[in-house]
Order: sequence, then C-alpha cells, then structure tokens
Amino acid sequence: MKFLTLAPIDANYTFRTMLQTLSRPGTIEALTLSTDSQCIPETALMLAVIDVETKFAVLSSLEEIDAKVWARLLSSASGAPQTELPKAEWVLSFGEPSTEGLNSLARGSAYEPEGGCRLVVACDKLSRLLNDEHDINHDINHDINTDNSTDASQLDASRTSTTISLCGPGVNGQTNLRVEGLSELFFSTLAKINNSFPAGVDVWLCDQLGHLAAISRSTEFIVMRSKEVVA
Amino acid sequence: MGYSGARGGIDAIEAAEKLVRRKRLNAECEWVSPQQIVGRLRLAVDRVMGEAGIWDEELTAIAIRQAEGDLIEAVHLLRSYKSTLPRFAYSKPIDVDELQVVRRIVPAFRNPPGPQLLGRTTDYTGRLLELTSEQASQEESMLLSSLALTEKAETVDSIASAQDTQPRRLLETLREMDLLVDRRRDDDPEPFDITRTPARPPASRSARLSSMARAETGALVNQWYRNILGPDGYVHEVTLGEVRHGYLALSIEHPLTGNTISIGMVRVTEVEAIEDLNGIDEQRDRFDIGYGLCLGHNEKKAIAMANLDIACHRDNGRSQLEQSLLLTTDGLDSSGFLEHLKLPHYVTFRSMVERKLAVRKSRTSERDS
Amino acid sequence: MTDLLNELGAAHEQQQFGILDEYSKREIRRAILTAVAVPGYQVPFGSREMPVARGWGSGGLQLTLAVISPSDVIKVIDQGDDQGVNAVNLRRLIVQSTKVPETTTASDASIVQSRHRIPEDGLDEQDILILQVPVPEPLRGVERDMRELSRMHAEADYSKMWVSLYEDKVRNGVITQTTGYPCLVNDRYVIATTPIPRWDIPRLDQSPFLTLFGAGREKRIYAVPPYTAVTPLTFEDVPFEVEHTPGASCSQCGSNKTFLVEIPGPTSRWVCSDTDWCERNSGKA
Repeated sequence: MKFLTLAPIDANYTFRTMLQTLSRPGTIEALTLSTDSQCIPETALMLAVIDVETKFAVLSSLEEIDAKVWARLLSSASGAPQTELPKAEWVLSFGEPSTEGLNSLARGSAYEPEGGCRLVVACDKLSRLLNDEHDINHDINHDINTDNSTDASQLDASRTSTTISLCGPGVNGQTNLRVEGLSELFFSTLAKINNSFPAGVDVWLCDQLGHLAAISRSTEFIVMRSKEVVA
Repeated sequence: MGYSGARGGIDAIEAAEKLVRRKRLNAECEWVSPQQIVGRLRLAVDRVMGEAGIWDEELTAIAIRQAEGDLIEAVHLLRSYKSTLPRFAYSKPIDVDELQVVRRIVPAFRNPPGPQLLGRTTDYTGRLLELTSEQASQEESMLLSSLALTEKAETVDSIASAQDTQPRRLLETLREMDLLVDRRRDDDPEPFDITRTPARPPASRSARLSSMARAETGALVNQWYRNILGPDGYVHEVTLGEVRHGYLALSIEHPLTGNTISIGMVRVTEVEAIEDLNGIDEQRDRFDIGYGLCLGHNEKKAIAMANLDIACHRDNGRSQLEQSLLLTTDGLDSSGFLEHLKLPHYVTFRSMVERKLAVRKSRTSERDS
Repeated sequence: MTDLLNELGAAHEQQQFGILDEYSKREIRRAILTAVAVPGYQVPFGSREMPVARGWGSGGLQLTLAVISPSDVIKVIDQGDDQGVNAVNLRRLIVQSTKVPETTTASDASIVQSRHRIPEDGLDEQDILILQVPVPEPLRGVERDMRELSRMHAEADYSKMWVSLYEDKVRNGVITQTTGYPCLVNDRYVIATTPIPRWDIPRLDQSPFLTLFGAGREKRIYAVPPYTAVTPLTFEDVPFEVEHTPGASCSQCGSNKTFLVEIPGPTSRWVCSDTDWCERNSGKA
C-alpha cells in the first residue's frame, strides 16, 4: 500500500466495534470497512482514534512487516506524531510484542488512569470455546504444551495459541477466548502489568480475518491452556 | 401546552422560535447593520470577542445582533460556531514587545521611558449623560465625517516613530534598576490548551492565563474585588506598570511552502502589574510582576487578570484562589448552569418530596416507640 | 487576511457527519474508551461548546454525536418524556445533523440519550444509554477542594462520604439522598448517578447495556460497562430505599410498578414518568 485512508464513516463503525469489544471483553466482533477506505483492519483501529494530538508507535515481531514503514503510513494518514514506546499513547504491534516492549508501555497512575497506553495487537486467529473442557477444533488427544502428535491438525501445526478465561466488568459471568499467534508469556506479562488497577494497559486483538476482541485493564483473566511451537 | 408531559413539545418550541424570530427581525425600528454595531458599540464587540476567544469583528456584531444584546448569549453563538471550524494552524509565537500602541499609560512613574499616551479613553472625562437632541448629534456626526476626509485618521501607519508606537517596557527599566525578582525561564514548555484539556488545580501558569483571557469580564472583575475587599481576601492591589492597547501582527508557517506569512493583525489590551512582595518566604526587597492580556479593548479585564496572575503565583496553592479562577469565571458555564434550573426537574422533586415524608414518618415512629 | 485564511481553510474541509468535526469526535471517543476501561472514573475531555447551553445536555449531546452511526436509531427523553421540550430540541439537533432515524419506543432504539431517567425497559445488549450529567462529582457535598477530591478518588478514600451518610441517618432517621444517589462501581469508584431516581439504580447493576455519562460543563465522561457491579452506598442495617408511595398508581395505565410522578391538586393523581412505557401499557390495559 502506498498510502492509508480511513473514511469518516468507517472510523465511526470501527470505533463502535472497539467500544463494543472493550465493553464486553472476550467478545469477538467482525470489522468491515467500506470501499472508501484503504487499510488493513489493524491499521483501521489506529486510524479510527489517533490524530495530531496523540503520540503513537508501531512494533513488529514479524519478519515480513517493517514497523517503520507502517508507522510512516499511519503518521501521514492521521497527522499523529510518532514517538518512542514508553511515551506512546497508542501502540500497534504486528505479532507478539516482546516482554521488554510490553513492560515499557505507559500505564498511567491512580491519579491519571488516562495515561495508560492502548495497545492493538495483530494476531492470527480469534475464536471462542464452547466450554472449557475441550477445544472443539482439536482432537481430544492433544497434549498441552507439546506438539509431537503425528496427526496434529495442520491448521494448528505452526501456530502458537493461548486460551484465556475472562471475567470482570463487561463479562456476563465468565467467558473464554482462544488467541492464535500469542503465547502464554504475553498474557502473563499483561496480567502483571494490569495488577495495579486503575493504572494499566488496554488491549485490542485483531486477527487476520478482521475479527476483534479486547481485554480491558479492569478484566481479570487466567491462562487456561497454551501451545507453543518449538521450531 | 407542551412544556412536558403532553403531546406538542415540538409545537411549543416552534411557536417560541417563531415569536423570537418575528420580534427580532421585525422590530418596529430601523435595521441595524453589523457595521453599525462595530462602529457604535465597539466596546461590546471587543468584550464579546475576548470572551469568545475569536477575532472577527463582523461575525461578533452579527452574534450580538442575533442575541439581541445579551452578550453572554452572543459569546455562546460564537463559541459553538468555533466548534464547527477545523483548526489547521497555530500562529508563530508573538513577542509582545512588537505591540503597536494606540494607548499606553504607566501609573508607576510620571516620566517613564516612552510616551504616556492617553489615546482613546474616557477615564478623565466627566460621566455626564449627553442629552443633546438626536438631530444635533447626527449633524455633529456628519460634520465630523466630512472633516475626517480631509484630516489624517488615527491609524497605526500615521503614528510618528517606532519608539512611540513600540515603547520600551517599564519592565526593562525596573530590571535595570534591579528592583525585580527574576522569574524568567530557560525552558520553553508547551502552552496549555484549555480548549482541548480542562484545566484543574494545580495548573500551569499558561492554563491560568488562558482561562482568564476568556473569562467573563464581570466574573473576573468580581473575583478580583472579592479577593481584595471581600470575604476571601487573598489578594493585594498592585501598582500598574503598563496599560497598553494596540495592534499585534499574526503570522503562521504556510502549510505547503513552510514560509512565514503574515495573516493580519489583532487588537489587544495588555497589562503589567507590579506587586509588592511582603511575605515571609518572599524576596521582600524586590517587586514581582503580574501579566494580563486579552483580545479587544477591555482594560478592566486585563488589569484584573494581571493582578490575579501574580496573586495566584504568590498564593502557591495555599487557598482555593486558583480553583475559583479556573472553574468559576467562564460565562457560558456559569450562566448555562444557572439557567438550566428552568428545565423540568419534576423527577428530582418527586424524589425530594418522598424523602421529606420518609423523614416525618421516621420521626413519628421514633416518637411512638 | 480573510481571503488567505479561507483559502487555507478550504483545504481542510472535511465531510462531516454531524455538528462535531472529526478531531473532536476522536477526542471524545478516546475519552469514552478510557471511561469504559476504568469503570466509574471521571475522564477529563476537551468538551466543545455545543448549540445547547452548558447545563442543558452539552455533554450528553457530545457523547451521542461521537458515538452515533447511520445504522442506529435514536431516542431522546427528559424526565422520561420524549416530548419534554429540551428532549425535543436535542433530538431535533441530532436528527437534523446526522439524519439518523428516531423513535420513542425504547426497544427499537439502539441509543437512548436521557436526562434524569433510565427507560423502564427495552434496553438490551446492543444498546447504549447516554445520561446527561449536571454535576459529575459525587463527593461535592463533602469536599470543596478539587485537589483533595482528586486524591480521594485516586486512593479510593471515601471515608468522608460514609461519615456524611451516617450523620444523615442519625440526624434524620433515614438517609435523605434523593436522586443521584452515590454508588460504588466495580467495587472501586464512587459515582454520581446523575439525578436519576433511586428507582432506576437497581437497573444499572449488572445491566446488559452500556451506560455512558457525559458532563459537558465540567468536562468529564464516565461509564458503567454492561455486567458491572453498581452498589448504592448504604449501611448493612439500613436498606436502600427507592421512591415509593403506597397506594399510588398511574391514572393513565394503572401501573404501580413504574416510577410515578405526582400531579398536585386537592386529590393527588399519579402518572408514569416514562411516557413511552405508559402508552404501551395503556394499550394493553
């Protein structure tokens, strides 16, 4: 893409989706953009909210995505100024951010919760589990933390995934969220960061199919199961 | 009738709007043009521009006319209009030493550097209501107009020398006399934008100054007065160093070429106030300075502002002076909230009546038990 | 000066959907997201001057304009009444500038902007309730200094509030808080529940819908997400009391299960404050 653009009407709908998912952590919503806009879903989330008055940063742990290129695209499309990670109010991460990076994000404080960074993470796939006993997409014989089964579903062979169980404001009782493309370390780091409510970091997860889910700093979650691919 | 509860709310509103419009546009008198309002009621126009935070004399005149002379209402019209306008540039910082004065007085000295220029003021004219006949007034007006065509009008261009129009600040002289505390900073912090972030104590000086620059004139004067002589009593009156009324040139960076271009001039009132330091923790062998600046010609506001600026600095959070200035001097906030009392409040009232009865019932049952 | 400025300004003309420009909308949207992330915290925002006066719903209006989309249906009420003149004015402003369809039926609405009431029913998981707030600070009666107020919320130190409620109960025999009863949200922040009646408060607790609170004059936004605990502050042995007059029922629809307001006179009559609910219920009766 040579340039990005998000039409006001799409900014509107994108914001509503962000609001819906943040109000109901763990819920998955689909993001659809009109033909007036030219941007991939994770950048739409940024363009819906950043402008000349918000500092932002872009990270990438994926080889094929150059963070600097995307930062430039976002900056010219929105007028928002780029900054170093600890000063950023909005951060877009292609793939899982490093633990160091996550820990350096601004958290705000009890006197200024609004200082907490908002993080958008592009992951592979979001899905829900019907119940927390087993994953309907998986063969029940799969082991946690190993990938040595010879009839492992090819879909999952190359994917790190973590399933979390959430509760808290916005969640009716309890719910689950399975995130492919993010490891247990990401979630355990996030949980530690959000341990001093109202300071904290709010996260939106955006998958490659344009689905969105969010974890508010007020959300309590635990990792139920995870799978790491050891290359 | 559709005040509330019955059908016809929209009918009631439209009837009210028709009535206002009819009476306003079709009053039994001559039409008033914006030029007339700017020309004959300039101080009202200046006051409204200052409170709206907008420089546009004609637009302001239209707002005053639409508001039928309710100046706070006119400010509201302008500010909500401003909300619809995109902000596409910031002016380059202005050095107020470039102010070209049309009026400049220095009460602290008889012969300060630069002129004492009374300019256009009624300060030393007796407040006598002129009851000449309308005809005589208009004849005099026409005579003066025809004379003005042959005379040079008092414009910025016609004033003699740069030294007269941009007199050296008294502040400089006081510094040379080593009489002042030096509060000049080395850093250059971003000014606080009160239109983007609400200011709350403890606030920066720029937040306080910009809040006061847009404050309702009467509110600010009243804040000054009640802090000087009234129940709050946190403020001591200053000696004025400079009172200036004049023109400032505005320039911006062209968004495409990057060159500095002049976009015109605004007219402001500027005041520097000299404060006598006498506190235990202060440098009692020196003075300090308070600053006031507002759009248009509005001396009482700028003077109050300068006095309150230095008072706030000296107060340093001990009292709630800063809170009063930041939160109770905006005309739209105060009058809007006051007038909202006219809205239906019958849900609240029903709840209040219920509690009254509950209190009585509780007393009765206490007596009985 | 004017020509050059007009020329430069023309380059920035944006397609507008509503009275607010896109920068203002983003500012408000960011503040809304913070409010939802920290339930009950009063988020400061750059409140714009609106065509309605401060104190008359400028905050609620800004929230609605920032949130509303072409696929919404809007309902606006004041004291529960769609025809209240201020509600009519606000609705007219919203509809004229956004062209979003309007309704009086709560269950058909996806956004309800309201002053002082929560609709008796009709709000579900897809809906957003926007409440107009005159004074967002619940501790205003017990503390005047804003720096101290900021500390109290930051440190969750609500002791002054509790003492005041206790004194109220001791002095008057009952807690005399009328509308806008202080409530604890998510076990953390105390909020001013605007002047909604105590009657409406139970419906905030674990509600399926999102509630946003907008204070335009004081420039604060706060939120109660769905399925969030909202508990009125009271003592273990002092039950929370809603407005209830025994024997009162609506003279139009007969209900005694809704919030009623009095029509004063030699003999008292009562009517539902929620006019839409009342009409639908009258139809059934």
